[in-house]
Amino acid sequence: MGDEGFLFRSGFSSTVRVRHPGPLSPERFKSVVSSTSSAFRLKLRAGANLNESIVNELHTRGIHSAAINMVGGGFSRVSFCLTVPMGRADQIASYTPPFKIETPCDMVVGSGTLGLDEDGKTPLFHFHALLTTDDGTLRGGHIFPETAIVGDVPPVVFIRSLDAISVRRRFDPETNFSLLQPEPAAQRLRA
Amino acid sequence: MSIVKGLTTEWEEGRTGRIIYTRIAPNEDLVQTVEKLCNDLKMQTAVVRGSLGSLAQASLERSSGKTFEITGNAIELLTISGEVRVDSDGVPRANIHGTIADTEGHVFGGRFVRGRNPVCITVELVLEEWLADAPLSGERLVA
Repeated sequence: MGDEGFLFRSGFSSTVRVRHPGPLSPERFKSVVSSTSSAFRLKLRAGANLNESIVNELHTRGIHSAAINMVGGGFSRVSFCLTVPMGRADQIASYTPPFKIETPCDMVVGSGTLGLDEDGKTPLFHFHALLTTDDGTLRGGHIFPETAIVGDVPPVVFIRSLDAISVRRRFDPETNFSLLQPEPAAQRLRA
Repeated sequence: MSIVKGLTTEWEEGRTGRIIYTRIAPNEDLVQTVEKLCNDLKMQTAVVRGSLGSLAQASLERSSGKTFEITGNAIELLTISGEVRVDSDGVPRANIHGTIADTEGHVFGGRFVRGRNPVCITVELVLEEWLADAPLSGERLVA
């Protein structure tokens, strides 16, 4: 790998600022607090994909927003993408075509958010992970949950429900992307 | 509280408190936002439980102090973990480590430098409050 795009810092230099197409939102970070949360530990079943084994299972149990951490184990195959800059005026970045890992790989660590899509009904799992392949190379990015097939050694999943928080994908005028954003839950979602 | 005689480490007993989900907007700094958030919520100690999103540039440092910067406007945040604790002046200080992938998929890791990791599109972050019963120092443990 060359030095391009990889700068050693020498003295003061300004940080990059990106210019998005839409109006600047006055709210620069939005947070919602939950004073209650349930904890779960899941061991996934080999051969299932992450939609089946995490998203559907949680949804069936009435958990619609959760913080999910995954450790160890691996996938028999998995696809992911990365963000790439785009020179377009309407969106400053896009996603790469899927990178496919077709042979078993191990997961170092992964974390994600379970929320709801824009319709307020369909579960959405936004998940990034760091993986290693057989030659020890580190790979990783935005994992497509339906393509992540749990391997012979399943990852262990730690889940915290976000009881008072609704995480829902909403259109964000500033970036011109639909993004997961927190809102106070209208009611306690878990029975 | 169980105390192990002769233990040479500092340890504290406690429990988790509130859990907070945050969306950080473009150009805001990852580390400083975590600190502002803890200040707003009057949290003295918190654990950064997970995060994902993208950065407009990544600035990572090693414990030696050597800092390196990855540019490219769309850097994928792969993993982050860390903690926030108030300093002696009561100001929250975040110590956040993690890994990122550049636009070609090369992976880098280190400690995120305060003020030099602006968000590109969005960052989703989950913080868990840590409520220590009472901090114990190593010296007191040996007593």
